[in-house]
Amino acid sequence: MANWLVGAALESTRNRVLSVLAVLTLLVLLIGPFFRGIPIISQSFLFYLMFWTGLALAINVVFGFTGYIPFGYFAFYGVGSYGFAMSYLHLNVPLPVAVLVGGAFGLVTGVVFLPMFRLEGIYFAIANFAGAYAIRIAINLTPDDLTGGATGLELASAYAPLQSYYAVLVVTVGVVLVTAWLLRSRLGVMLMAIRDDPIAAETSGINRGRIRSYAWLLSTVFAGLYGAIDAWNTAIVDPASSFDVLLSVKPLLYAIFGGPGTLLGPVLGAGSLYFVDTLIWRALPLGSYLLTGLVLMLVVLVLPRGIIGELEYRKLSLSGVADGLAEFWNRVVS
Amino acid sequence: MIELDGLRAGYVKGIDVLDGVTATFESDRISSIVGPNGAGKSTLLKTIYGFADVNEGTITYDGYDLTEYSPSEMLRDVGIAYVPQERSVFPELSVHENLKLGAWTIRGDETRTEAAIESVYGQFPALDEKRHARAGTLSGGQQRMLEIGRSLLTDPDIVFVDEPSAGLAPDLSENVYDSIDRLREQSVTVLLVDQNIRAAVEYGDDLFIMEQGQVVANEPTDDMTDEVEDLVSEWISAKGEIA
Repeated sequence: MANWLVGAALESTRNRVLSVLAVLTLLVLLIGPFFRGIPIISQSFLFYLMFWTGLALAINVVFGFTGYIPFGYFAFYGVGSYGFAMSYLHLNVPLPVAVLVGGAFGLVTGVVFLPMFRLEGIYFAIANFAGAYAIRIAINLTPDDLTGGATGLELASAYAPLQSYYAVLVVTVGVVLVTAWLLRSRLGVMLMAIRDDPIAAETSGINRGRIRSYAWLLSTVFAGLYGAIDAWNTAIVDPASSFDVLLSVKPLLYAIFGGPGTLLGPVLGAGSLYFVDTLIWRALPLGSYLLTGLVLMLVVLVLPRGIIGELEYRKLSLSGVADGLAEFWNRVVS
Repeated sequence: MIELDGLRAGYVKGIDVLDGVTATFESDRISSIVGPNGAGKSTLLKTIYGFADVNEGTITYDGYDLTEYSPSEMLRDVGIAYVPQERSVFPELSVHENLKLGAWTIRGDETRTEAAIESVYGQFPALDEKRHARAGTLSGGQQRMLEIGRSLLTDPDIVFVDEPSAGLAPDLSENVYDSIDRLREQSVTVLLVDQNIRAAVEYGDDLFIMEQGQVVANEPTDDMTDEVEDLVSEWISAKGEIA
């Protein structure tokens, strides 16, 4: 009983600390656009901090929870940005609705990519990347009237950085909540079981094809939404920047760095690396690419489970400390 | 009973690992399947369970076509559990969480789930002692016990066990075989693939010998012909294993 109380007290303390931190962060982000005079911390910085954190969490739903590496993830971002731009320009839909259209474009493209889940490992990664690149080429070849072809579309009349800032805030809160839910839900347990041992999961009665596709589609919706909001923020879409492979690589890197399959991992990974990336980019624009590559190599070698993953694995988390104290109580005190 | 008729199956189109298997596995009995490496024993279990492609022939269970079911439906809809040859615990989850996942198909019934898990702890006390340990930290033998225990949680009608004693110390092997033996008393049908010929004959009711993708002999273990008995003796004398 005493052991349980020690554990429960520390667990609730941890949850309380995390809740307070989350509320404080949300408050800071809510008033973020009105900060003045703080170096680096600008509205744009906070926008992209949330953008990369959200994309890292969204790709984590596939990569962290199923183990699949979606190198072609940029496709869903890309179609989302085009969905936003075309629905706004050609159909005159309100901007928030156009963002939802972007999410729907991501979802539909995700459905088209679903048969690729018959492939495993590197074959999936390659097929996924090839499919994404094919979409980029296809958009290059479409009529200028529809997509702007190779030069893209301008959205000057949509430019509203404050609105797009709050849009990215809402979507990022959404992906945080979805990840937190996944970690506690049956769907999350099924996904992690499939990731760890697909055969054992299937023999336990879990349909791996169907469950994986749920995670995949959830993730593609968020990529589409982020693509749409970024198009709103920059007021331009074009094949080269909307279908940039770094939109797959960076979120993956952030998730790996922080710890895939967790909530705090991608948040911590994106937050810290984006901050360092911004500092280096200001001093040495091409240096950020070098940094990205170096960090990826170092993380894989030194922290294969990411920061949070290693902490949890080595029982250095607060819950690990709670376990340790409970064991101490059990062995020495009682 | 499970009936196979002219079964051709494999992992790649056009290459049949099973080359026309015809066999009947009777209910409430332990059917031991033995044979040299590459004979198709594990593939036979995988094919019935839906993990390999059937290219020709039929698989029926009490008249139902088993090829209609996917692997994830086998436990819930047909009542067949499967312990694969490869280690299949969830390494990052605790022993208890592994068992809870094994009871996935009855997850709505908490009372039944907990009773089933406690029953497994009763059968395998080593697991009870380590219920909060991460499954990846268990010894090979304990992981095997966990896999077998997990397969029994939902009271399946049939259990497929592939190489239950591979890599286990003798005393642990005995524990595992005893748990398989108890299944007979519970009227559970067992298909046992084993390289340990001595155990396969001792614990099995029927012996199926496979060679080159076919069942070449099928006899009750208490009434074997001289030819099969000589073959079995020869294999056992070769350290109880097939080279």
